[in-house]
Amino acid sequence: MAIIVNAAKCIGCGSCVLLCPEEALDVSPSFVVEVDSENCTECLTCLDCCSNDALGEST
Amino acid sequence: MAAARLPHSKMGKMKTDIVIIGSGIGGLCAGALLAHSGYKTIVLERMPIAGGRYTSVKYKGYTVPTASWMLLYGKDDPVYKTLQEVGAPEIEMRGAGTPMARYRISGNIYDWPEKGALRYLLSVASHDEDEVNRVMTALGQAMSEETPSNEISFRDWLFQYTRNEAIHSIFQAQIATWCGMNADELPAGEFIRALLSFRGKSDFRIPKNGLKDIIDALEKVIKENGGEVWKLTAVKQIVVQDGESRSIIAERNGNEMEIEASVVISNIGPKKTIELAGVGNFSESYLREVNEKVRPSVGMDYLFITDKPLLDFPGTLYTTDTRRKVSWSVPTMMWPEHAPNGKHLLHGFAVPRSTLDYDPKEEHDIFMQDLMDVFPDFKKCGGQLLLRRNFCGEWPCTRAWQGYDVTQETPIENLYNVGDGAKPEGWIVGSGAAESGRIVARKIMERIKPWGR
Repeated sequence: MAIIVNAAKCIGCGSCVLLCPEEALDVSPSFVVEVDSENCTECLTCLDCCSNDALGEST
Repeated sequence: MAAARLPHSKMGKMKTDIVIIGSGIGGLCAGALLAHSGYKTIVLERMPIAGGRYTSVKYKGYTVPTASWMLLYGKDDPVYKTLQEVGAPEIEMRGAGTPMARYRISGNIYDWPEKGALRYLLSVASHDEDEVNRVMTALGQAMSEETPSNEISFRDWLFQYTRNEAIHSIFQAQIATWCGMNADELPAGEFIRALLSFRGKSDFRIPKNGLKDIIDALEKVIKENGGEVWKLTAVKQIVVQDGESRSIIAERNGNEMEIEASVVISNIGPKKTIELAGVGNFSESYLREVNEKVRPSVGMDYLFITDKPLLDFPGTLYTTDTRRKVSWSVPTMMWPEHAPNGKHLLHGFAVPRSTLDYDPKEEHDIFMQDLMDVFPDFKKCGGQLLLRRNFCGEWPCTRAWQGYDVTQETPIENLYNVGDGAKPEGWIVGSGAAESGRIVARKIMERIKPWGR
């Protein structure tokens, strides 16, 4: 399982970045969230923070 | 047309006076006032924290706002008034002091003086006293005699009195910073009303831990008065019957529940309110109005870490001669605690040339050029990016452009909108959202008694 970002929906508002307990997210220069898979624990907090339904889990 | 109830026979049920969907500053101001007046109030928040775009969090050791930074009107701010009215303990806040702001105009930096500030700035931008008098007289008349129409943009209105781009840029910098819009997008009448609401009251204040201190205080008031603030609780439906809101269906900890409420207050924006209550429950004209009016204001927001403060005062520097008209501040000049020892924050905020159509990557490149132009020693001072953000869409500067808000009442009885899609005229950003919550709380208190009384 991993966190996947739908680049077409992500606006780069950064709310998931701020609330990620592992600080495993960042906003790219194109304003799309990037996931650091080394540090991501897949706690899914980011999914609860996203107002644009841009984050999901891959199986 | 009534929306059908969800077919869940084993759904948990509750009854309350007030349900508030969303815990932004509009919802929490309304909630605190109503709970303090004896209304059983339940606030439902989708996210893990309360406050929405009006709070702050610790991120990599720095205090970072989720969007809004400060109270704008000091003790006249609707947020401050609400805290006072509900008996919340005084929150430690600091202001910028003097000068509150500086402006970079044609390469030179000028302090915002305590008196006669606008005339002074226009004079240094224009060097033509006739032109300055013309603009100041027009503004004076607009503020005291006849408010301009909202049918004309502020930029077009100002063009009647001056074509001096240095003057236009001063206003553009203010409008971008405080509204997340451009002067050619902001209705002239609304700009004048905003100036009037600011007159003698502009007093920017930041709490010790950022706006979280305010959100925590409001949440505490709601809980101490028998209310609830539930996080990680998503509302799935506003149940409407016979033109009246009756209850909401929410999901919490994997369970669905129905909460019957005398009043439902939506703090999630007018468009989402319609979505949850069902399009079929609204008239064509209301749907058209919301669709045409409610469009988000936007902004490119940057936080940088530096080893030294890049400004030597705690107020705001407006650069009117950069590619975008940018506002800059060093919040750690006001509160050193907002960064780890020996580090500082630099905040920059700019609005794209059009808020309706822009390329974020292109805006990023422009912003970085402006940064290097204003702070050539940025890299020497250890400057590095902490966070870049694009406030837009469902996480905007404001849900509705200033002057394009919908009313707090909806066509559905006992269903209200609060927040920055329902700001009253002349009130801006978070303070406008808070004022909408205060208006709705007053209306409810006039109409409905608390349950059981």
